[in-house]
Amino acid sequence: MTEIRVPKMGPTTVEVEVMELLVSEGQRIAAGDPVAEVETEKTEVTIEATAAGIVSEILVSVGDICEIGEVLCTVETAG
Amino acid sequence: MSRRGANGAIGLEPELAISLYRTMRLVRRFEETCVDLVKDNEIAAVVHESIGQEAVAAGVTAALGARDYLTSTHRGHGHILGRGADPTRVMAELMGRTTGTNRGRGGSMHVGAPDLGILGANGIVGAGTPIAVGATWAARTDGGDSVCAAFFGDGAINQGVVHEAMNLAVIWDVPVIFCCENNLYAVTTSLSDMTGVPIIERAGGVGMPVTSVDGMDPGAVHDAMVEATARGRRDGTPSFIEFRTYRYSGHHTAEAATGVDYRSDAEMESWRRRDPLVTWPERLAAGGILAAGGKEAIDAEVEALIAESVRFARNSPWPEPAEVLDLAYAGGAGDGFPATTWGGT
Amino acid sequence: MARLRYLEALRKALRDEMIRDDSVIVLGEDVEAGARGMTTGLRKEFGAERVKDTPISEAGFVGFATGAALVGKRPVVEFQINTMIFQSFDQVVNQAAKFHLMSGGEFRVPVTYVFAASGAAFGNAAQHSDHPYPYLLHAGVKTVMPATADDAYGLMLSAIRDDDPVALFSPALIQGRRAEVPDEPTAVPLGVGRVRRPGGDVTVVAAGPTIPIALRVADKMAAEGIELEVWDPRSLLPLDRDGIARSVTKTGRLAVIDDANRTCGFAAEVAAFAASELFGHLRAPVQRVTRADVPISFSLPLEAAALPTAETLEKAIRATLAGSAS
Repeated sequence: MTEIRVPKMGPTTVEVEVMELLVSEGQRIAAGDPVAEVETEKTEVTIEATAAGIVSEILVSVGDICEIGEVLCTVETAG
Repeated sequence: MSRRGANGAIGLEPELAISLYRTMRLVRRFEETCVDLVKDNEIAAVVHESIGQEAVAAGVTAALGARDYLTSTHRGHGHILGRGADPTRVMAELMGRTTGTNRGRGGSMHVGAPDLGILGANGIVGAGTPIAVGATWAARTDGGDSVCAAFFGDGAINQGVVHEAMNLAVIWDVPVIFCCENNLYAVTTSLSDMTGVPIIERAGGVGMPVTSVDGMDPGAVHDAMVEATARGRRDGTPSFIEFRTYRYSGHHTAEAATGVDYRSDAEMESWRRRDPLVTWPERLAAGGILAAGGKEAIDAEVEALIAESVRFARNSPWPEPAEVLDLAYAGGAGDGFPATTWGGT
Repeated sequence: MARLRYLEALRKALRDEMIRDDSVIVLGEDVEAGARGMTTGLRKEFGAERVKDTPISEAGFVGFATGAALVGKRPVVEFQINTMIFQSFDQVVNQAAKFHLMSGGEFRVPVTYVFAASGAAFGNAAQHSDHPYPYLLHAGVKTVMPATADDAYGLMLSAIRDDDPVALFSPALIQGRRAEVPDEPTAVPLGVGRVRRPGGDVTVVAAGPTIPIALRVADKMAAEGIELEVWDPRSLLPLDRDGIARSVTKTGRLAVIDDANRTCGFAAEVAAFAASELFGHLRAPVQRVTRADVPISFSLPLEAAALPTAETLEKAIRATLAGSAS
């Protein structure tokens, strides 16, 4: 299982707001697929999947403020 | 040195050549008077005399137009008076009176006058140079052709901010004339001990025309400024001019009392022989520009003006202590400023 | 009304003022590209004469702004990193801030200094993590630190319109947060504080990045029946001392949480004010929660240990509740 996290955005960006979730639980995704649209204090960013597999759990909701490094969702990579 | 016209060794218009003498005489006598007033403590603290350097102030300011700017230094009486500040009000400022150019708030090192384009004298070495660049840039964005004379001394050539300011002038085409009054000493330290290369080599790397002229010759100073200001007005080019000069006095009025000894008698004497207050009127007389009695008439007029300045300053009121906060902020210092309760409650 | 992020609100205020007043210009490092987010798009809209990238010459461009202000511009200077104030300190405190007085009132210096992403932001280490506003307060420079987007908008307008230098700190920890911002320009005057959460038991003075901390602690303690009044000065100089007095008169207890160093800091000023002028209303000693007076270490546990936190604030509040002046 792999966790997809909010990646580092910049030296002083400390959190992002989840604007849109682009995957749902049970969905099969490839590495590089868009997972979520988030906004930093400055701009909109698309977070991409860092692994291929099936989305097993989504841990955030639209409107959540997530810190850098926070887990957005988990992906079952085996099978 | 190029010389125009037919007046002997002097290439300047006679009226201008004579006015240069008058400015130099005014500055010399003003400062000699200041020295006495400092000794008597009628002027608080000390002043930094420019005695010996008057040709630079006179020549530079005579080349400026009505819409031009000037930033001055701690040694700035010559710049201020040359630019046309009223000596009576400058003297009142030095005595801390409400009638001073800055209501007594600035003193010798901080004279400023918007109507004359004097954007402050400055007590911090080199600190006026970026202010000069910003003001001149701003004035020209409105379509004007202003230039600015930014004065500083040889000591300022080792200040980072001067190089920052020169670079800004180059990259943004701002015609500031960087006027370096090289009197060879920063307080007591000699330029050659403190600087690895000649001043104009240092400045030359910034990307503007540089030149070095005889700062004991007001005509040469004026010529160099005319060339630099014309170039600046035309295409926004900044310039750097080193004026080689010398102060006959100490770093300030109390220097003698500190017992420092850093200049040889021979050196002092060699520069004294080139005193522009002596050599310039001699040249004017030899060229037939200054008639017999002409110098004496100017001297007498200056003397009367100095006497009037001292009288005016002495008779002017001191600020009231209750005014201490009045000018801290443009909008005034109201209840929200801790300073309003500085003495406790 | 629109829900804007703090940084968007600053940008909107700057843009609105640039539209309203031709004399407003903006300069700083990488402002054309909008590296800090506040100036994005302004170069294209307003042109090279009004939006200027500067070299990395903080003393030079701060002095430049002073000069431009002396002859009629209203420059907004963006410091890309707030500790760069130190390189330009002479030009800010010894030139711009003193020019009006030194000139006998002849000159005005209407400059706004914006400190983007100010304060600590997790791992930026010693030279990029200070929150240097107390230096400016000490020097008498008008200083504001909005905590929310609406105040960011309103205080930015006031800062630009003010005829003196004004420093605006935009803390990294909160400049992504949203709030409702009026569509019509509405200035927040300098020197007027704001009750962020009313309460009757303890006054908590917080500012900028410590506002969310104070609100979090207030939520937690409310569950125990302890009501904190979170009071936000918004403007650190001028300071709404009457507002502090009103709150402390009501609660009788004061804790100050401040994201700057302790010695001669903002919290020290508020505490001294309360001790000297509100002594009769205080039922316990004033508590100060500040940074430790130490450079910020890179390593995150050490950074956190030097900063004011919800835990240290809660402890201070419990101390003031337990303490008694009589």
